[in-house]
Amino acid sequence: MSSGLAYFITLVVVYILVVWGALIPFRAGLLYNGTVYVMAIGGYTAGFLSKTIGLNFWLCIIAAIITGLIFGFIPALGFSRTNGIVTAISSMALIFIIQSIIKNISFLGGTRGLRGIQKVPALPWFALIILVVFGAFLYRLFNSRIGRAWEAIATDPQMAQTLGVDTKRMTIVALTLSSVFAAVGGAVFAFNIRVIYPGTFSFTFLLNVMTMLFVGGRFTQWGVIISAPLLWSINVYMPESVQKLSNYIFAGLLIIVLMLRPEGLVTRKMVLQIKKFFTGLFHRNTETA
Amino acid sequence: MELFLAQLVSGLSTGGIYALLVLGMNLITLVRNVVHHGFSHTCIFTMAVGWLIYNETGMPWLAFLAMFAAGVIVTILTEPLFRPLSKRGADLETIVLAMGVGIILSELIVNFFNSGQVLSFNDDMKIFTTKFQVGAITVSVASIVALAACVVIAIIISMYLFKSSEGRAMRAMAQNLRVAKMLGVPFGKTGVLGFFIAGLLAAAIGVVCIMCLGYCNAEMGDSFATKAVILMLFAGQGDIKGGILSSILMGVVEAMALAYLPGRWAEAIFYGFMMIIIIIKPNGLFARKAKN
Repeated sequence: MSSGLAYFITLVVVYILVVWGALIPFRAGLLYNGTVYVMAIGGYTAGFLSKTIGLNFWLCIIAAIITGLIFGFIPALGFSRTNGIVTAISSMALIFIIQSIIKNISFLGGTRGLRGIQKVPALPWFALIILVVFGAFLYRLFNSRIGRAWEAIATDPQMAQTLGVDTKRMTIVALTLSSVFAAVGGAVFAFNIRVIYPGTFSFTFLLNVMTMLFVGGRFTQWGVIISAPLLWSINVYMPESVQKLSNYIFAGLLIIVLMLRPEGLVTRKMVLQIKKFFTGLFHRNTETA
Repeated sequence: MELFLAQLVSGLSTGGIYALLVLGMNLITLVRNVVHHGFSHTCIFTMAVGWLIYNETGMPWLAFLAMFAAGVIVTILTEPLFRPLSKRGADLETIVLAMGVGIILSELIVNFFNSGQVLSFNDDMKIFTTKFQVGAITVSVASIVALAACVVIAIIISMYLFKSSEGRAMRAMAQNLRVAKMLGVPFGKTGVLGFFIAGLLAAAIGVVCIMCLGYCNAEMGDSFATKAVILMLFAGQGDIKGGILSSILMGVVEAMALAYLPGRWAEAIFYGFMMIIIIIKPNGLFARKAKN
């Protein structure tokens, strides 16, 4: 595998993981922008451990999961009290808080960035393994009791509460799990680019994540698998003149999709039809009977 | 003590800028129930347009005129984008859409104005450059003029909203869109009017920023936007008086943090403080009853 392709694949996996992190709160009817904040924490944890102690890749990922759990849980406690716009905006503030904290901590490199993260030769394959594992976990999660509870909250919080769903606890669970996805994404990201700056985890990154989420379709987990490689290839495989315009293209696409196709590229109906087609292939006799 | 007073004055003028930003976003919230994250980017964009026109022609008044024109054009152009979402009642999506608008505007500034460098303004544009001594502290005339301008603009817009019939129509739309439409408030016209005033306000904020700060760059849009949106929620969405009060308060708090705290912790403390308040009081500091 050429190094360019390996870089591309790993970065797309990172984006898919982070977008899944943003998708989980969306299932519970929340727009949570704290994913980039946890991504910074996961990335810096993995990078720091790899640089100073020399931990190997998988241990760094586990460390990122643990820190993601902790640092996702703390704000989640607060955000369980709020909803809608308030959560969306105040979680955006987390990005600025973490940037300014990292800038002031000298052993993380401050504004000069964290350098000297170990090179992992088989990174794209590891990333794909992580993607499959987390994707399967997410699929089971969305079809579990918790997933159904989230959907009930997203449809109508008051009704969900009447039916016995603990909305506060479910919100905390959603935000914490979303943080784990984002932290793992951040760790893989750190191993991929190997020099991380506080400015990397910025507002533009959030816009990329949001564009992939909304263009792909925010009601299923499959949309982003199509949208992330497509959108990121604009930045890599297009001619120079188009690459310069990538931010305009991202923002423009986001606006157009939000206005004209609110469900995104892959809709729930489409997934249902595909499912029906495949079950029809295997159980043709039972269906006609 | 001298430091304290100097910081108080500068904090009051930054608070004034925040107050105007929050006022503009509250106007848009009233007519379309949109949290316009890109409003601050519009202000920075008008400043960039003013810089360009001044450098081309050398006439400050033409530059100011162009700023107002740019503010109005940009905000009115964004209005149709929000319309389908506003009709659908999709609140969360509007934030994301406004973020997209903001990114496009800051990209435009980076690409077409001074190739992404900081745009610093000439003394002709700043108008008031004199400083005078009060006791041991130096006070610039510009910050006092800016504060006065903020107060005057805020009073004019509040008068407009609470006394005129158009202002009443806007507030009715914020209360209940369906009932307001039923009683004959025009959905399109009132919205465009609200965005028009917000556009004028954006240019006015640009002028005040030129007087107080004297420079602008694309990153300022992002930090202004997040601060202003958070301040708006801090006071309660659509609460005009509360928004102005809390913005001025936070301007002072930020100036104090800059003066008395080590390093670059001011930002972290500002955002952290606001987040905690918002989480404790999700309906705003001055909210009386819960908004559904």
